[in-house]
Amino acid sequence: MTYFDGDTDEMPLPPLDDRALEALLSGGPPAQYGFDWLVPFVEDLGEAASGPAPAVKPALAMLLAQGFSTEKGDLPATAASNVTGPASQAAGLPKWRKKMLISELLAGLVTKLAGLGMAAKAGMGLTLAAASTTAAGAVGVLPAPAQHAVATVVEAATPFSFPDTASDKAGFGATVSADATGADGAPGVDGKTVSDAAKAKHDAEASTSAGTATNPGSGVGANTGATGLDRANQTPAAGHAPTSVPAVAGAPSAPGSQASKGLNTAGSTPAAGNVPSTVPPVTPSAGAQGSTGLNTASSTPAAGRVPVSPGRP
Amino acid sequence: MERDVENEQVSQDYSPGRATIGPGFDSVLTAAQTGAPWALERLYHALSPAVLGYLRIQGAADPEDLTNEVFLGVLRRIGSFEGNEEKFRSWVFTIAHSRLIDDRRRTDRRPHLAEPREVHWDRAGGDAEQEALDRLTNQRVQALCERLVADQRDVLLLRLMAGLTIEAIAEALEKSEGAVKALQRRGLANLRKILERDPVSL
Repeated sequence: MTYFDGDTDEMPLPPLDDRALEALLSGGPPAQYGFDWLVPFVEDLGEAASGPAPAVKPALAMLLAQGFSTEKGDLPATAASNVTGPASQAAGLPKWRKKMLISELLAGLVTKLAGLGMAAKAGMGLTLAAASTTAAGAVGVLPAPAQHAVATVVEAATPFSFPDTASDKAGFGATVSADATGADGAPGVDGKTVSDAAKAKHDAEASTSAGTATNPGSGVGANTGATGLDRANQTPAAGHAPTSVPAVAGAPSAPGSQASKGLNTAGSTPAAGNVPSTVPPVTPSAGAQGSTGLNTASSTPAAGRVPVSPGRP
Repeated sequence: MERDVENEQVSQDYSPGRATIGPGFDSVLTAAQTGAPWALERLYHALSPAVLGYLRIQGAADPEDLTNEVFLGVLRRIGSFEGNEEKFRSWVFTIAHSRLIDDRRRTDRRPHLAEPREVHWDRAGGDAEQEALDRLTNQRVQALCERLVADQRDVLLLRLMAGLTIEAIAEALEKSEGAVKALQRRGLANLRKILERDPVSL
């Protein structure tokens, strides 16, 4: 076995110690037995490295001629940035190292956030909110008024254009106007066309907003002309609706007493002093005012066919 | 006798393991760290020939251009350096080796084993005969080193040419000191075998 994994038939060399190396490098005789053969090689290495300084390129020449300032922002050069070691391989870092770097980055971010003041956090929150609103506006998921506002601001401040649903509806009025004024070829106000267009637009929006309006006839809007009672009967409380209105406690049962109650109410107003205490008597001429509908019917052209008594049919 | 005179001349021009600036290194370094042009130029002229020789023997595609890149990086970071001249030398060669690896990746080339390139020396004037001898010496050393395994060549050149310690080489090559010692031992053994089989290599 040898020191250097060489051929076994050769005489092994002792390791080259630092003292022997220093003697070799200084050009003196070898201070360690067995290294005479190395002297010419070391001398040739010294010759190869003892030439004049190489030609200086412009960047280095400017640096050597002008020096540099040690003040901040005045670094002498920008080349050879990887002076502390070779550049990384094109393949980049291994996956475990990338994960570790991401973890370290997130941990550092959390630490920095925790160290921020309240004002800085509030400002960061507002910035994030503004950025989120803008991003939502870019996607077009905001409600129509908010979408319109965001789109207006962004289009005014930037060269970009955002989707604007409010602007999409802006043309509906012009269409209706054209239908009404005859600009579409039909002269005069085309009421039916206007009505149909408005209804179609309303139905389209109603179906879009309701989402479940697969059967338009079953919707509330289909109950056009229905009474309040009919619609109330469609509610879950339909079976509990009272059939009669309960009497108010202390209320007079006779309808004629309502008048006296009105007088009592009038007496409590600021004009109470001007309220007559009695109802004036009805004059004979005024009695005609209380005639029935038969008297009025007698003055019409069909008076001859009017029955003399309001008998029941 | 002639060889002794030549060795003496070499040791005066270049002594890898010795200081190249000497006792005044600290003041030169301090001035260089403040950006003084004279100090930067002094450091450049003291170390750039050795760096150029190292890159040239290692088979860099454009050793002069790479030497410029190395010193741009050195002077850019010199404000952060602390230590004596020996450490400064180790630091500069560590940077040079890193730039060499980057250069090899960039050019995707390996040193030729059989045909050493023509080396162009940029000596200003001088003796034509000496220039020819230097060129031959350089080609011979380069051809010899190219016959070594890459790791062994790196260790031997950093040890014998740059004068780095085992510890500094281990740091530059990102290896353990034991591994560097083993590479040095195997490299010396292989170098000896090459020289014994082909004595005219040197």
